[in-house]
Amino acid sequence: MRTVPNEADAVRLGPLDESVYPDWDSAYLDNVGRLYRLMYLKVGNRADAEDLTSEVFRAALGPLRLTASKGEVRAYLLATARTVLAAHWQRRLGLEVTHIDPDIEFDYLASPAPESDAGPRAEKILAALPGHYRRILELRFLEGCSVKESATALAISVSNAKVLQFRALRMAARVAEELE
Amino acid sequence: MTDDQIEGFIESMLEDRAPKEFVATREDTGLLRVAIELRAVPSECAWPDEEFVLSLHQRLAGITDAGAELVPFPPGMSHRHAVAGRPRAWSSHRRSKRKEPRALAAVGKAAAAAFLVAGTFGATQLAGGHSQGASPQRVAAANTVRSGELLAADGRQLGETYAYRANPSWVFMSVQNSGLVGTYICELHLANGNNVMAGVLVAYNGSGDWAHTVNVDVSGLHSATLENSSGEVVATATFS
Repeated sequence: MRTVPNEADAVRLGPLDESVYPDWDSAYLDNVGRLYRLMYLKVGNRADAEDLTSEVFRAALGPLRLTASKGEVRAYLLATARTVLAAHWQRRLGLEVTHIDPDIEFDYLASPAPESDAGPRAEKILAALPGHYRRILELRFLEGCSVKESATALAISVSNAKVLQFRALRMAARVAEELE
Repeated sequence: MTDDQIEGFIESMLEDRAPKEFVATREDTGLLRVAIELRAVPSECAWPDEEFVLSLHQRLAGITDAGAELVPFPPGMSHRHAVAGRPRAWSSHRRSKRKEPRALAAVGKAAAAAFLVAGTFGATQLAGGHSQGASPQRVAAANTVRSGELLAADGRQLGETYAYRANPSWVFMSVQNSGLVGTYICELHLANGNNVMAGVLVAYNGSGDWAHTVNVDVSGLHSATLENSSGEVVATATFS
């Protein structure tokens, strides 16, 4: 998906914070954490999240003006992030895996302490899985266990743990799709 | 996508490394998406390191330092006005570099492009994050630079592009008074028929620029294009 940020984006996002940033440092520091976190939620790893966050600020630095309101700055960062993420997936896998929806994500970017729905949603997904599928995903994704450690915990071979994880993710994907 | 590729993607992600590139199938996106969702649950993983925040802050400040000419100024504003209008914390860095643009006039456009591309090293290195081996150079030999005018379909010149052969190589694109607004995909077209999506150019009030390392042989470049969100080519440049 390719997107072009424009005034319509800002209009569609509704009322924006009309106050302005006193300097670029403030604008950067106010947004970098939440933008990074948003990117992390979309790619799932620190290396890519850092690269994409950097790319967004690099791309937005020239066009952004400090006379713009905080809301406009965030809206522009979000629109740029949407495009940067789309380009990332196009380069990485040739198709889009996750995307940024300004209508949904703007509140997240504007919130002082943003909370994603990742936790509750993950709970729902895991709760819908058979026990052994749920456990392998908990071990790998929530408890940080390696494949070998997970295999030991489940008393199965490493190769079986890999197969189990793959099948569990397939089923989790179907559950996630049904939740949407 | 094979099971091994999915496994590799997930293992990289769980180790906080960037997964390798491969061609995925649409049916696998659901699996990858749910893996990313589950990965993002542990909250301690989802906030940036202080070191990253500080490093990026310093490097962004460096854009307005070393890469002063890369920041497009609003139409009607002179360089002096633009500098004066900059936030104090960053404009102070730029004032000390005011002599450099004048020096550029003497070395010609191609070398100037090389300078500008090199000048963005700090910024684009962090943007791409994969150019650790590059060494900034202030002036390049003319034969290391290829260039082309970015033309609209009606032949109007919107800007220019430069490709700079180095290790890694660089591509620089710039538009001025182009009428373009928003974000555009920069795509490189090779003489062998292959296309490479190189990055994103953001234009504001018709002006914008972009520079990035590219993993292509600059001598094999045929042309470059800018595409809008609909995939429509809005500008094309043929490298000479």
